[in-house]
Amino acid sequence: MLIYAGEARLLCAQAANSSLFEVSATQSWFGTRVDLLAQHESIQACKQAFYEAFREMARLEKLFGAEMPESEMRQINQQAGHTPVKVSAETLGLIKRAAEYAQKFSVALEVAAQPREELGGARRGLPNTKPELMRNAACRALADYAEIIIDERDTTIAFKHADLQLALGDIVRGYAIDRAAAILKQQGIKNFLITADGDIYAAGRKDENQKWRVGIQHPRHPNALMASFDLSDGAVATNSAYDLYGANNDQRDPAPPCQSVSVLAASAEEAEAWAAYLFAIGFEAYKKIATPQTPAALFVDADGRIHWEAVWEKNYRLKFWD
Amino acid sequence: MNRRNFLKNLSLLGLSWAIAPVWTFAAERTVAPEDFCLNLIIDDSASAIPLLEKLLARHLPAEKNLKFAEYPLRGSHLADFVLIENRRVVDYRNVDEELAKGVYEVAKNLGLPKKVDNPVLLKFYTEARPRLVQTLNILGNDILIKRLSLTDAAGAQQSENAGGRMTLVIRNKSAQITNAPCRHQTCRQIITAAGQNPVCIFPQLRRSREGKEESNFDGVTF
Repeated sequence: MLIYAGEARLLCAQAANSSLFEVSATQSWFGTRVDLLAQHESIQACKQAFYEAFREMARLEKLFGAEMPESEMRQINQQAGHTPVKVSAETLGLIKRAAEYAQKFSVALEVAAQPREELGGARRGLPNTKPELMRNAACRALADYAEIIIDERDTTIAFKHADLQLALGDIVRGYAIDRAAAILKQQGIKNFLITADGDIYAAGRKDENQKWRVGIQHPRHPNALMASFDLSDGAVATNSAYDLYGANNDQRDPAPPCQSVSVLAASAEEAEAWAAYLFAIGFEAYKKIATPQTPAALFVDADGRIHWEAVWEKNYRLKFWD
Repeated sequence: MNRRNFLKNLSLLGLSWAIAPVWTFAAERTVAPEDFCLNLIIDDSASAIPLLEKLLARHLPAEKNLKFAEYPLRGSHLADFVLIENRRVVDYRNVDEELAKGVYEVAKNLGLPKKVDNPVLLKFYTEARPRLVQTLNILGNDILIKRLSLTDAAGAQQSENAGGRMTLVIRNKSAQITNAPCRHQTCRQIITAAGQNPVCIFPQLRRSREGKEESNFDGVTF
């Protein structure tokens, strides 16, 4: 059962006679909240499309949830260090892309394998699992993507090391958002916004005069926004120190290289991967690797200074708040 | 509608308000004279929604922003409309006004009033400007248990469902779960970590925040 809250905007006289309704739905997924928001002339059509999108996300939760009884991810983890596990092309494809991101970025992203002990920490709900992965050299070595054996011909996944487990956390959220977006488009919904735990994908526009308006949360003040921008036909993901470390961010040693980074990309999966990577390396390192092909990023560095490219203002109407 | 039925509907609406006290606006909110709200309790929303879409598109001025919400209700209810205009309940069956007549036609079409089990509450409403108030929805197994205004309902609040009792403290327009009926206490950690949008999966209790800030964002990345 979904909860819908919508807003209808009646078009002006020269527009079509039909009215557009703004309909939204909320559902929990993988322990977080997912919001779908759409502009459409039919509330019922939105409800049907939302139902299909949430059903797809529920399917992915069953497929990729490390704790789901029948998930392929659970089977891979149970057989770590022992037997290759036959998986679906979809699972193989996502793990392969995750490993490729890890290889491309040369850091131990959480998309790669996590040591079993660390994953246990995450299961118990202990904070700071992800940052520890980044910092601990031993963990970094263990979490090497090279530990994953991907056999594309036999469609099997295996781990070289018995102490490793897969947790596709953020990357699977990005993938699920992209799948939900594809479902909504298939269902004829052209103007919509998907939000899942701070990751956002926008398609079309809010109305004929305005794109979807997105706020960026302040990394030190979770109840405040520091900026806003317009988004259409693309995704944004943010990694922030507050989200990862909580309020005691200042006491960490070493301090994170930046307070937060927001990344714009064509897909939510890509935005997620880049946000994790750029948060790990910080703004100074980003300046050295940035090319015209690198996704646009907005950094709040460790000292609280904000850095962004001109494209944010030119194409996305970036505005800062006091 | 005779007086008995009208009063019965009003008491029914009172029940809805007990579940959904949406009228607890904060002092800073400007009361809009054009406030409009059409509530419908119905077991067949698929039939009702298209009729209401047409009706409201025909009768509401173009500059009005009409919001829509749908909530499942538990138990036996009397299915009927309650129309509120200018913050006053309108006896739509006995008022000579175009929108009220339209509502009456839809009510006849749907065979209202009638007794229904486990219906939904459909709500179409307008506001003069984006609301400053945020309302807290507490849901158990996706059933709306309680709605609280974050500004009016300061202090500790408790909600209960089959999964157990949850305690949350409201202060400074935000809510913090201080006790959950499970050993995981995940919702408390989620609030602390993310600052908003907590979901407690284990006892099937969750909460969502409703309403938009004046800045009118469609989403927030964090």
